[in-house]
Amino acid sequence: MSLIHVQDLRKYFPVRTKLFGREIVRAVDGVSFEIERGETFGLVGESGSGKSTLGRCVLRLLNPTSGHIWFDGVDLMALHGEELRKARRKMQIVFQNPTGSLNPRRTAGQSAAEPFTVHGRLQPVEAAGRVQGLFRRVGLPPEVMDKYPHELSGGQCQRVAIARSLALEPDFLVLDEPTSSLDISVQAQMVNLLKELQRDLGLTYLFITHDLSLVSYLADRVAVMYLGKIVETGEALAVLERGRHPYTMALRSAAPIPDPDRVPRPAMLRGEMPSALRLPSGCRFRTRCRWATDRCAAEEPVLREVEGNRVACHFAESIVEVAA
Amino acid sequence: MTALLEIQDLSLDFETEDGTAKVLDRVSLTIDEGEAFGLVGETGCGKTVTALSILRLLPGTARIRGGAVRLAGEDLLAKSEEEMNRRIRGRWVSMIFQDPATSLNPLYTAGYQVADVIMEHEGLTREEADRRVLGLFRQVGLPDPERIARSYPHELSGGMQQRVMVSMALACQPKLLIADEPTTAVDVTIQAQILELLRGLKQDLGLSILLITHNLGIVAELCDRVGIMYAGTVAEVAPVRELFRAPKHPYTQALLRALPRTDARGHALEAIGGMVPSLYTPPPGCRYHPRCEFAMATCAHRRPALLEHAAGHLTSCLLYEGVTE
Repeated sequence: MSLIHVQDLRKYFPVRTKLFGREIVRAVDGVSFEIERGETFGLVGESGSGKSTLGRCVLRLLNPTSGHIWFDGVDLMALHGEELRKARRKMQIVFQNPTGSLNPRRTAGQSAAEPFTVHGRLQPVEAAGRVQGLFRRVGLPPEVMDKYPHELSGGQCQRVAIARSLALEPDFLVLDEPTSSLDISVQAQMVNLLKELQRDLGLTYLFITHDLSLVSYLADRVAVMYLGKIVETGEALAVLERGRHPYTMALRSAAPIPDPDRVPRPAMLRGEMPSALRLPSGCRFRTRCRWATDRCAAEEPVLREVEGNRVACHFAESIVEVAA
Repeated sequence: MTALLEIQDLSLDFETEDGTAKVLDRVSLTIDEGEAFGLVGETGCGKTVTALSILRLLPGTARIRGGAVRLAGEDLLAKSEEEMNRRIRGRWVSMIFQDPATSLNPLYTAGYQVADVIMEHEGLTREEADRRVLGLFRQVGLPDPERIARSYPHELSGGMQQRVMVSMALACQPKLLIADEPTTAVDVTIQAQILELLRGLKQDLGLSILLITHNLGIVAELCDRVGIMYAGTVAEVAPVRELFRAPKHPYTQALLRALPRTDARGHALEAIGGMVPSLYTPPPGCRYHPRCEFAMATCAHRRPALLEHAAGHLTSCLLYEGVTE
């Protein structure tokens, strides 16, 4: 059984616009996937694709509009109040901005001890002992416990946030761009730490990122999102290196590769992502797709098996990736 | 090719309440006409300060301790504010920043702001300037220039805002464009479009570009030569191919190995141990020596010079100066 099973998840936000009054943003619009125990599942997409909203919905930090989430066989959508709080101990989230996710008026040790006092009802002394162990685990020297976030580097703050997320011995972590505000050398330290923790503690990761090279390094399977939908999913390398969806191809072609011998290619995608308020009919990607036909405007493609991946494109078999 | 810009041994401190931060220590680099030069380094290494010192837009706490910044042979550090404004800024050198949204005035339309720059520098009337704006917008690939000119910044996407900034920077036909992390705030498909635009400007106008970035991938795509900075010093300068193929400085080597790559799957990334030093108390000798895997006893007290150890390839490391212990 998969640890995480998400089925037809939707999250709609009502918004007010000057022109049309109340409208609906479909941030996540019918997304399904499973994550196996011990696996790293990468969620890739640009800003506005709905990947962060999806990550929060999986933990029910945001309440999905509809759909199902099973965590270790338990239907999270059916849980309320105390039951949900208990279930949440086993799943945690680490955010992009480590300084912003720590309380500036609390020491790192106090922040990391919070889960114990909230969920575990430990005495402060006991909690402090546990925090010391966690800090050792994430490679922080014990003196960091008495420091405030502004006295720490970005990398150290992120380690504190990771230590805190591990406090209640979770099975599942949502990592929402955990390294994108860090420098390359610090990012490497953080990625190594996350891999090590996963191996030693048997953690399962939902890794949200826009960085293709990062996800191709560490994910087992990935899903590519565009405007609230998964457009392609499968084994990480199969999708990232050979994916058949035109958007996957565009991301691949746009990602800067540190190899000066690669001939610079002209940008493959023209224009920008349409507003989530004015979704194109049919395929949501068609307004930027060079292969779009009338059928793409009329009929929304569904995920189907193409060369081992699942791709939502009517023409996935016939599209030939051009070097242009 | 001749050097358009030459920075020579530039040293600079910030005098703050906490003391003296030695922000730049003998920074040297040159940029040729029509060349794209990438300045790469991690947060706080001094790459933006180096760029701001060219335009003399440094914060009030900055004290230049020595060195020279020459543009087409003229010493910029000796110029008056008035001359910088009248002759250099915008006309010779202009700059675009990371976050175009905060660089544009939210209260004026995009067209009005760019026209302002042209009127200020070229003494044109509003009508003439407006016409020039449309041409500039077309040049930077903005669709429907008339509509964009009438739009306020918040009505434009991040990619379009950055194009407006580029058009403003080009308004007075500068020789050198400084682009400080120009694509950090936009998505990767939009980034590809902006990089394509910069590549085109370099080709078509012979524009020199100083690209500041922490992303080695972007450097590989756009730049002819690269400088790697570490803690206020230049570690290495090399043609881009050479830098990726045969990096000489231990920091550059470590940086390249720290990049996540597909072929490294299943192996740990090679992280650089330790942390970037405080610029208030930088390590003596080579500033990288406390983290360097090849550090020798001498590195702790002798500062390496930036020397040409291979043709066109400069490295600041005692390993290449024949020091053995």
